Amino acid sequence: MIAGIPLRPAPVPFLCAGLLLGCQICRAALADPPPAARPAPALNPQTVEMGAFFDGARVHLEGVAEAGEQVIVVARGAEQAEDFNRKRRWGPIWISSGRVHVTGGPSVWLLFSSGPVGEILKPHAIRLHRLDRASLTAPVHVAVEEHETSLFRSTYFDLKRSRQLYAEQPGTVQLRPSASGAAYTLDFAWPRTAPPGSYRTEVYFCRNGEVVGLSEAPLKVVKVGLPKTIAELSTGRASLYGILCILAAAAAGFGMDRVVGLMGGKRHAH
Amino acid sequence: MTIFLPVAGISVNLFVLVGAGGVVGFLSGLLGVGGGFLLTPLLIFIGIPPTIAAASDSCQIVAASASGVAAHFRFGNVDYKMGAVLLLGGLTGGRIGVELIHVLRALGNADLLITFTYIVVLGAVGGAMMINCIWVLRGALPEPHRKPVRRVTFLEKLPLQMDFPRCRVRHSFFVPFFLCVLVGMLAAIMGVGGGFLMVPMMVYLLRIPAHVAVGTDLFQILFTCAGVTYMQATTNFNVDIVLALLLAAGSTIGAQIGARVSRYLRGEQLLIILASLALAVVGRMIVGLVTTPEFLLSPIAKGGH
Repeated sequence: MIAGIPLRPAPVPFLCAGLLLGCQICRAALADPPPAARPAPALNPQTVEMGAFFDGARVHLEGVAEAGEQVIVVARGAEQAEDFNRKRRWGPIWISSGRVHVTGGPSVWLLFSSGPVGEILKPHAIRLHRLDRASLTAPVHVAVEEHETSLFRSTYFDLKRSRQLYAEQPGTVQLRPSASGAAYTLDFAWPRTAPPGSYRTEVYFCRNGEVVGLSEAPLKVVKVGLPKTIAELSTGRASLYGILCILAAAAAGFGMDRVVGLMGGKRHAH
Repeated sequence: MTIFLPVAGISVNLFVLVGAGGVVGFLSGLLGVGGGFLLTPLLIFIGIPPTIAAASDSCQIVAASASGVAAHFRFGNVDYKMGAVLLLGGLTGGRIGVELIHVLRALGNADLLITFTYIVVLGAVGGAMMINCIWVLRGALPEPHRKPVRRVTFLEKLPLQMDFPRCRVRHSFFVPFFLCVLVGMLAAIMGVGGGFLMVPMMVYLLRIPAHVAVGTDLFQILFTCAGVTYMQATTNFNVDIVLALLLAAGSTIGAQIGARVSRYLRGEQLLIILASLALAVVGRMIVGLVTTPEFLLSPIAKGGH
């Protein structure tokens, strides 16, 4: 009793809320500090142009790290939703049975590093930044039975990798000493299967198993020239485009017949 | 040499596309089949998204069948009157088939039914054609144990009898129409153009000479695929004109060669090739069914022709 006011025990919900708040504050205080922002890497080209004879592109990336740091580079696309046919065993045969909706996987994920990621970073740092197969696919939601989730996440990754949209290439980032620490360079092939869109290249600077610095640079992939004109026509004026397609195809067919007919006529004349 | 496909959004080797079109065009000109059952899976294998592959394939079939029709027209192998009836029946059956698929999908596991329909129909048609043609070529075709007089009498009583001079047959409008409704339905369920079914049906049931059957079938395929191309372009925005024209460059040449080669082959020989192809596709499907797939997920193919 204080100054005549009786002390009553605090209600249980308030106690729980207080404890939770305390835990969150402690967790935030003990958590890894966010990696420091570093200057953006130099990217060449900054825009990949998909012209009529586009066959993928070579992209060069370079920048400066501090002495003793390892570097991991990730080219990443936006997360997307996709639908797939599901293969299912039915007696002795495999059939397509039902659809599977997948969300949370990036459209493109290309990882390059100066060494094996498992040796550069501690497991919690890899998970935090989604820098390996397991951590990349862990948040991917696959609409299947719970016990099948792991299998289908793995299948999703393998399918993307088979299309060259996902890749892990350790040892491809080159590090060499420089006056300000270490210069890193990376030359990589931008896959010709990647769709046009906005991507970003992320550079992780690592020391003692932790990410200590992070820099980013956007990478645009755009259609140019005739492909751009055709793509815009196909969506913007679809009716005209449809008629043009039919006329062009029919003209090609009848035209080819005419050409072959003329060639046949010449042969007969001889 | 690589070329970028603007609607598909990917790059593909130019010669691979022209070559694939050439092979399919040759079969089209030779046998009167659209070739969609071969080309669409081939394009998906090359890496073209399934929706784009199916829609652009329709567009290239317009080119291949135009070339084939023109060549067959010069050889007097196209019966426009019969072609118009087939087109009407095929489109009607196709529409019914598409609606049927919607109902089956709603009921569940339609894919299994489609697969088995494919194997049973193609296997039965291919097998029957093969056996029949081998007997004919050996000169050992047994006399049919049926009573044709009763059937002919019944068919002759049907209304709207008309002559099809190029086909050298006389039928009621309803005979080819309803047969084509049936073929159109099966074609829609199986997701193919129907040439595989249409040509044998015209030869064996309508008694049309094999060469005229091929030319006339190409005529109706030309219009069917033109309609599908327009619908795909305006509804799904899936037609890639660059892809279609590259395939067409190969297929139109292939179709011309096929049409010329067909002149040096007997009708039974043409049907044996068609039967072999049908049985090969059935065999490939059976192998695909029992083999463990590389991935448990596969891209979704929409559309078709």
